[in-house]
Amino acid sequence: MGYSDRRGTVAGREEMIMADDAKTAEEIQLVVFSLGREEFAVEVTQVREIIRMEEITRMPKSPYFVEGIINLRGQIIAVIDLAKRLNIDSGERGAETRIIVVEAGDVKVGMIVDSVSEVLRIGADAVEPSPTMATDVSAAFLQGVVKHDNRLIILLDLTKVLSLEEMASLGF
Amino acid sequence: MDMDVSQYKELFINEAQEHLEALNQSLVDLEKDPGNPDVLTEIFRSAHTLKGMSATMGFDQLTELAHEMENVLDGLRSGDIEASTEIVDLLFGCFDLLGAMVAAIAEGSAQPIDTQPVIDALRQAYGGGSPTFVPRKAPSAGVEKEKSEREAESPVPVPQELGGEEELLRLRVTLDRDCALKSVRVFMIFRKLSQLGRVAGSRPSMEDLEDEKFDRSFEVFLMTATKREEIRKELLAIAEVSQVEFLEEEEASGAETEEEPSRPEEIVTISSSKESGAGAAVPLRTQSVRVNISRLDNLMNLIGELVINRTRLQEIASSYNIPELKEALAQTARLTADLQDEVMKTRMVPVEHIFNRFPRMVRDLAKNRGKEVDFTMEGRDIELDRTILDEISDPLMHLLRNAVDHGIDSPEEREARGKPRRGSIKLAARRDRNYVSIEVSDDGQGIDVQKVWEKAVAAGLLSPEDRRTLGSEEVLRLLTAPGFTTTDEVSGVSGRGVGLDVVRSKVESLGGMLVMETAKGEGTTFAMKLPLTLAIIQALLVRVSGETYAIPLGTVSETAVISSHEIKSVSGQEVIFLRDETLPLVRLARCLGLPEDDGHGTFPVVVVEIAPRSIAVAVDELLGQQEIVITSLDKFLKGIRGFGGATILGTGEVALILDIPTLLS
Repeated sequence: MGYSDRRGTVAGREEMIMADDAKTAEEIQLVVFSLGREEFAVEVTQVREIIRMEEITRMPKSPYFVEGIINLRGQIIAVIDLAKRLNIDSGERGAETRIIVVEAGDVKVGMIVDSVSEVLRIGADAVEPSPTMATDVSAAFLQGVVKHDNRLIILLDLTKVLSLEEMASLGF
Repeated sequence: MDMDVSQYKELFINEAQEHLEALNQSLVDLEKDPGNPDVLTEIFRSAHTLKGMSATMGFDQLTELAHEMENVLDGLRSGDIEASTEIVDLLFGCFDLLGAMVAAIAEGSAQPIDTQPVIDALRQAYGGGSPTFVPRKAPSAGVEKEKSEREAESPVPVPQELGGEEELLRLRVTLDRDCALKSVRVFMIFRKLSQLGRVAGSRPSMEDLEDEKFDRSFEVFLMTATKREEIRKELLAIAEVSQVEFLEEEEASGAETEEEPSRPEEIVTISSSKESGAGAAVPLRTQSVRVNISRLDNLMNLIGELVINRTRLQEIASSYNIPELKEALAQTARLTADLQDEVMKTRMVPVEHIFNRFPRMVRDLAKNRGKEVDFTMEGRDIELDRTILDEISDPLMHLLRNAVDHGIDSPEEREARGKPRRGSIKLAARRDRNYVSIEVSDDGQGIDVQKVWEKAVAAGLLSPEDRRTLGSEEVLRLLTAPGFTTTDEVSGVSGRGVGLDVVRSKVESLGGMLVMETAKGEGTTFAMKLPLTLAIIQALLVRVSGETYAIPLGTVSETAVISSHEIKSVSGQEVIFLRDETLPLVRLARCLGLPEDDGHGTFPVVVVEIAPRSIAVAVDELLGQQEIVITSLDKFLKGIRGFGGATILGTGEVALILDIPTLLS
């Protein structure tokens, strides 16, 4: 799945930013974070904010990966345990644990990650479409992989990660 | 003098839709009472205003159709045409077409709408010989004295009565006291005037007029050959123009030298007002301003936050025990409550906003199905929150359609049953404590509970043993179960369940409930019980397994403390006895899938009304009653049933609002 293929799936606002980026030699920015033993990234245009871990209200009857709900300045949003969602192991929760608030499609959700490391600026062509390498994460959630300084960063496809059809298939 | 028309488009659309609604309503009335002069006058006035507005805005096609329609209405008024079913249908069709055209304007759609068939039919109806509409571009030739009533056809900008000598007139135009958008009226007046002659100047200046820097009246100098009476008629035809006066030469020149601003209150009325000229009095409109609903939503949200902060401050005041702060906060509490009340009221809209289109709908539907129906409405002035009102429009339509389709029996069947041929359907709104109840009742064939029951058993939804424990209300509730339908096999109640699940879930999502009653052969009543307002509610806060939940107080009938040995078991279901009543007991923790307390000693229960019965809900602790602001859950969580949203408590903690009926269903 190439960079240009994805454009149709992102929000209009983002499209404008992307268009700007496109002029400057097809660059994209990624928020890189670690979860378990791997490094992941989401596009910065989909990230609304990054907050520290806070008390989360349990959400009964929700899918297993939903941690609960939080009050984000008057707005109530769901927080998911990303590791559970991706079906991988996570690290211990601690001082580095963060909630990345992302918006994809018309849902806004917080994702718990072990730590956020950096914002990376890369050429769009650095995203390799179909990941052939071994990762524990189901290919369905992947948008591609980025090879950067001998690191392998997995770029998540948030629309899939936060997909309601996925939830529906789980019986919710 | 040029003003941009587009800025008035929205206003035009709103008003046009209102007039069309009024037309529909009046025509239904007329059909019931043909020849009623008041109703006819009402129809004629709305149609005329609609035509005038369209002409002003330059919507020629709309104007043409309205014009042809007016000819038919004229015929009705004069008695030349009879208000037969064909004519009424033709007019309804015409309203629909006008509606579609207005909608197309609203959407900015360039899709051409073919009005010719309707226009031909209209022409045929009034004999076709009468003057036809002439678009403004083509100067009219054979227009005779009807001209005075039909301003749209006057060619522009050539003044009428070419033979007359031009003279400079000084007019004073006075608008209705409660005219809401004066600048628009000014615009319409000037547009009209420039068709009648040349505007030489105005006082106050055009700019000030556009900025609404005038009281109710202003003066215009007009070079024209048009007769004064003509001008007066034309101007009075514009909505909300209450007076047109011609000031005498000497008076005019006198005023000019003095440079005195006009003082309308000192002027003695020369002309008759539009209302008295048109016959029946127009009911006085209450003074109002149109506000975008999103503004009100924002206001509501801000107040919500204010309430949250107030609660937070109150908590600080009590934990530090500062009497002065508490006192000041008590005052603030009162003020925020008032503020909240006021904003809430601004969102309240009378139900007639959606009721008004139903008579027409029921009439059409009944006719289509070959049924005879008297439709009555009650409590049209009952108010509901705008958002709720918008949401229930479709469900209501559905219930009414059901009533006509399946409720009311055919005239023949009715006669055979010894009932009057005409069935009756009633739509009633009434206030009931903190709820508004909207009921749709019919005197039709009713629902055969036994047949619903048999069907449910056949479909495997119920087992034959259930019959002993389930009351007829519960069996009826099956009708609202998703996918449950009684179509075909059970002719008597055919299709009664279709879509009722949608109605129920919509009503429940608004924090209301759907209740039904039926008697075989006598009729059916569906009642929607709806909260008055949405955003802020009184709730009972409870604690279960360490989490706080809010239960809307509207559904709570009482609370009690129960000791565990009072719990009895009736066929596997835990029940308690409360004042001679047996209530099923539901443990909230279990229901939510949370770890349970071992149920030692005593615990509180909240008795919740779930029509038709009450249920006792066991919790760990009652925290008290509080006003909470409902925040809806993000789309991500919307699909999870059982919660009516969430709220942010004074501590910043988030509490889910329990929607007990859906939680238990």
